[in-house]
Amino acid sequence: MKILIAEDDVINRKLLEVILKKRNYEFTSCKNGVEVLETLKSDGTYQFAIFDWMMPELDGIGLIKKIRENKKYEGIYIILLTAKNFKEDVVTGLNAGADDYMAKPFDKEELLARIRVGERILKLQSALNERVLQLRNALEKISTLQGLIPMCAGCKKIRDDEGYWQEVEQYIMDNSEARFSHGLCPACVDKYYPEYREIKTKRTELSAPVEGDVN
Amino acid sequence: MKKKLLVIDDEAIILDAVKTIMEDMGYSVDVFSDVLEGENKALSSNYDLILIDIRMPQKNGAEVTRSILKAKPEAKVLIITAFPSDPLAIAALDAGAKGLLKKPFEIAKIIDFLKD
Repeated sequence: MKILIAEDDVINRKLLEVILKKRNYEFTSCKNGVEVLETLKSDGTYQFAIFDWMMPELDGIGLIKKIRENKKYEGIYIILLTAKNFKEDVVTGLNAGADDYMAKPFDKEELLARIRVGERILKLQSALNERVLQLRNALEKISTLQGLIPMCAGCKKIRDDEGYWQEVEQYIMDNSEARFSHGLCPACVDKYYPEYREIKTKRTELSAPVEGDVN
Repeated sequence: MKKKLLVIDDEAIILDAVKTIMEDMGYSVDVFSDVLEGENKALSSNYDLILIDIRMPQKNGAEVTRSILKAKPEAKVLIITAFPSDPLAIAALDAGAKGLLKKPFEIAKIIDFLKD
């Protein structure tokens, strides 16, 4: 997971870098919001970000708003760091689109714990996206069998998209994962193999005990 | 001597109908709903005719035909299918099956093939 940092204060930026490096996180440091946007433009694979609120040129709130405007970056998990820690500030930060909020000076362990929370949410999000994709693919496969299917009233063949008449089984197999196994229903057994029932009945009668038999 | 027939089909009613009617007519009939068991029987015994359904779980009829004819090129195999345009039925004919019976087939057709 690659983390994008934006912090104008050299000391705080260094501090963040040291904490992340020690935990083997891959990261890129920026001095302000404009640098962040440029970095994202050249590499859109960042999933995690830690932004300071107060920065020159483009502050944290403006930066988050710009990022959230772009659908491509809506999945980035953002922690907003700031010295502003009144309740209204927290609300403003989260409303702008931050996922989490930490007041400065921050505690190293708390920051790492919050990063782990973010990682967990990203993992869940990614698993969910994967599931949605699988379901969408499955739905695409069966959607071809929805709607009006042109069928011959006489022989029950189905006309496919190219205009060819196909057996029902072939059409369904071509357009779904369903397969057929052909047996016979009792009525068709009687129709096609009338002698089958006769033989069975004869055998049952022969094996039945005769009235009056004594064992 | 009784002519011997083997039928491999996963549908029990087809097997029971063929076995009941043809045994009543004096033929010897072995039937298998388990494709692999049927294939083993075909490889280990001699039959005058072998009927194989095309769409079965585990292994399709074209593969079974290929395996039987590889070991016993003289075996006489017929494919049974509900729709003869099935690509697998065509593959079975390419593999050496002598013909095709369309489900529901007439018992007389099987007897014709046994006489040939």
